[in-house]
Amino acid sequence: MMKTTATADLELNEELTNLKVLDVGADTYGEILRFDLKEIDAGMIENAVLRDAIQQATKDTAMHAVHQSHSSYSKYGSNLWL
Amino acid sequence: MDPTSGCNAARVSGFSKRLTGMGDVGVQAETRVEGVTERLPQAVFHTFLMKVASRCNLSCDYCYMYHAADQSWRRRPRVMSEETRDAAIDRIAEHVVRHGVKEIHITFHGGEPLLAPPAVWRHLCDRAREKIPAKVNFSVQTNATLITNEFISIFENYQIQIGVSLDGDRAANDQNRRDLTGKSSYNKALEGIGLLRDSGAAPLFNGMLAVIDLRNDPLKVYDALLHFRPTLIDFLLPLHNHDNRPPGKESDNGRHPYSDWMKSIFDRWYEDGDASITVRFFQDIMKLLLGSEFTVESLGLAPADLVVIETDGAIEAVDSLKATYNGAPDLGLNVFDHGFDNALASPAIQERFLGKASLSETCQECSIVEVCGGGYMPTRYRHQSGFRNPSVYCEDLFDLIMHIRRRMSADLEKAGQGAHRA
Repeated sequence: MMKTTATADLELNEELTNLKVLDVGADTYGEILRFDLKEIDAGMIENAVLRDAIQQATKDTAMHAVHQSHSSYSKYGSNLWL
Repeated sequence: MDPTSGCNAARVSGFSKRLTGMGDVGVQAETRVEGVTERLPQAVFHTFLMKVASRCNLSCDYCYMYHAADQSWRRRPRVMSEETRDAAIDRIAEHVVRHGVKEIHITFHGGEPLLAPPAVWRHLCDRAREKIPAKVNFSVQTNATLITNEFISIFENYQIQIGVSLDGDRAANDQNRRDLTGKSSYNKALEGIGLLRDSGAAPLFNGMLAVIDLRNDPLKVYDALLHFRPTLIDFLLPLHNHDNRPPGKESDNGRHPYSDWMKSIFDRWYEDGDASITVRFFQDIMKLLLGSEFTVESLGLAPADLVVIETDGAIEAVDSLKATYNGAPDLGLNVFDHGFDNALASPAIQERFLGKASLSETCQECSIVEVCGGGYMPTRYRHQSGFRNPSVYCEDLFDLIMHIRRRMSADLEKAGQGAHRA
């Protein structure tokens, strides 16, 4: 599995170089890997599937914040697909 | 009150050893669990998986219920009795009241849940509505072969959301989904889906689930599922682990055939750009890459809030653990003697609330752990080291997630939005 991790890091480095985001100051790959929802305007996205995912993620995040404010580890719908 | 009173400690401790992969870990697990309980005082269950029937009219080759390590179905009642149903609903009501839960999900499951007579369904739904002081959402996962007008009427009356398991076209479906005599189940499934789609319950038909078989052409499978015009499709990785490796992945050789299979469908779905069809596994990866805290059992790091009630009233951890070893989901609890707080306090459940801390060091240090969540728990299992391993599908998950990320990056860049960092 170490090989996988090494490969993962290598690939990710290439990704980051290509995207020219190495200067963002993140200290771990984990921070860099995910996109920042706050910086995305779904209305600017042509691809409807991506646009929908952004909208869904926005809803999830908003609902998560509400649930967190109630100190609950709740979900926002069944988390199960059987 | 001690929430662990009455718990079968030996069984739970045994589970903990397997979970952590360490030697005599029972005490350590309990110590850690105490800490977790302090950190997560509001951990509650919101999804209750009711095994209303323990048998199935099909004998799918990959089924974790009958063809995997755990054989507990053999000693369970075929159908959940009235006494057990009453006790189960009362326990759910108790849990809802104690934790102030506003909304829950009850999923009818099996075996094949439609093997339970309609009267069982009506009783359960009526009792749930009567006793549980919260919004109750019902759903069922069925092979569709036993759908009748009477069941459709029940689905409508109680607004039961319906998920159908089908692996694609006839050839694909026949690879694994045959009846007890080895005959194809395809025609019967088609009849059931047709009945459903022509009925007033059609809006409740909300998804199709297919288990991946590398022998099947991915795009043919996808087209076959699209034919039924579901709003949601999902693909499941077969429940294999390091001791029982998946077909096509007999060793860790860096190959990722399951990712290759799924990438074909992802590219087609993504390029079609039809947002009215959700392919759940893909959309969940996209949402997690976008920083969403949403999670499903098989992805992400948020805690799983699901518990299983078997036909004999046993309270168990997620039932797909049956694929790992005999007795894996067993908590030593039942709805007659224990509340769901007992389950919350058990190490086996607490492990699922630990998030990243429950994963192997390799996973904890990996760049994509926030997205893959270490992979689905049963697929991490290895006899010698328990569940603290990367998933047996590690290479596949990594390759697929990076592929999806590349596609998203290109479109985000095109839209002139940086959005690089969560």
